Amino acid sequence: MSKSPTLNLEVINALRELQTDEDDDVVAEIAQTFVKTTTETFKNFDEAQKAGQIDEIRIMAHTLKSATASVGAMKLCELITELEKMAKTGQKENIPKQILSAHQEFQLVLQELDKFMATG
Amino acid sequence: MDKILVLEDVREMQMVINRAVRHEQTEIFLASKIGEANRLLNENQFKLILLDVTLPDGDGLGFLTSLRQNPATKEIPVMLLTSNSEIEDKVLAFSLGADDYVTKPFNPLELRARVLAKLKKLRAPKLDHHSIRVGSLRLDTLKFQAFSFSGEKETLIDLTPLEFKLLTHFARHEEQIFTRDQLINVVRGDNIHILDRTIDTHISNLRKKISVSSLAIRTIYGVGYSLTKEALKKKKAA
Repeated sequence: MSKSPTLNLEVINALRELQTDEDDDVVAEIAQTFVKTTTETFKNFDEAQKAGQIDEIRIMAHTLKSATASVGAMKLCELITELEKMAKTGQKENIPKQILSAHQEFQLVLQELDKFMATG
Repeated sequence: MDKILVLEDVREMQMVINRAVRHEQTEIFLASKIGEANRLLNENQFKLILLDVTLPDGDGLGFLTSLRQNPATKEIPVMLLTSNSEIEDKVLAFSLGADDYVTKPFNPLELRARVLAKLKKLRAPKLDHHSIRVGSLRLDTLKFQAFSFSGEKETLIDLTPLEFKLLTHFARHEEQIFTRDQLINVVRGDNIHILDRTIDTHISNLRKKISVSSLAIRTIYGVGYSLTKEALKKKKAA
């Protein structure tokens, strides 16, 4: 079981520190982009899975891995890293379960981000 | 303005890097693909490149190799940004000519510090065997010029050839005490005729001129003179 937090506040707070008075809310801006692109990626995972396009899954997982790291979604980052490895090594049978776990974790990230934005 | 090229295909990561690296002295150019980066490289002079390893239209390490083979780009420092943290990956990156290697996820503040430190180093004057640096003074022995520097700013100190010769000698032998006779020997020649007492006048003038720096010429009564650093200068003043 991973001990990584759903949301690493250190990463988000570091982003906050980069904020200047003239800027729009930097965290909100990055979080909105993350939510939009990740929601889209999970839809594409499903389609690629149905079509048996393992290499597509690997490429999308690699991109998503960077995106999750940028908002501090560390546990999701780990799950996606594992998914990328599975796709790379052709472990087809484990991929659906891994995508499901990652999707569930993504829902937690959304809740945590909402909470952070509301209180932050 | 220092131009920085960021070659990274993930939008969120681009946003983080842009915020992290943006500074009053930097101008950021974002590219998502190698083709785009090549176009920007043709149109601009970059001080630094931040490069993702995995890109949609190719491999970042291959791009790094092509940068190092091109005379126009081979000197531009490259900082790799990658999720691969294996030591073999790092060794390979450095062997291909990377200057630094940042593993994702990174703290944006750390990336900012690394980039600013790199730019600062690049802006600092390159020292060679014609350059002597002591305290906040830099002497260019090729051009016979002395500079006082503060941070990245250098100010020329207007010295006579004799004063420059004296200062160079002091700088090469920091904290060492020289008698008047020794100093006269240093500046003698080249049609320079100098008397025992007139060396004091030259030292006095030199002392005033370098007062803008962190150094001072100290008089050791009955012995001679030496060049000292700020701590001693302040102690003496106190």
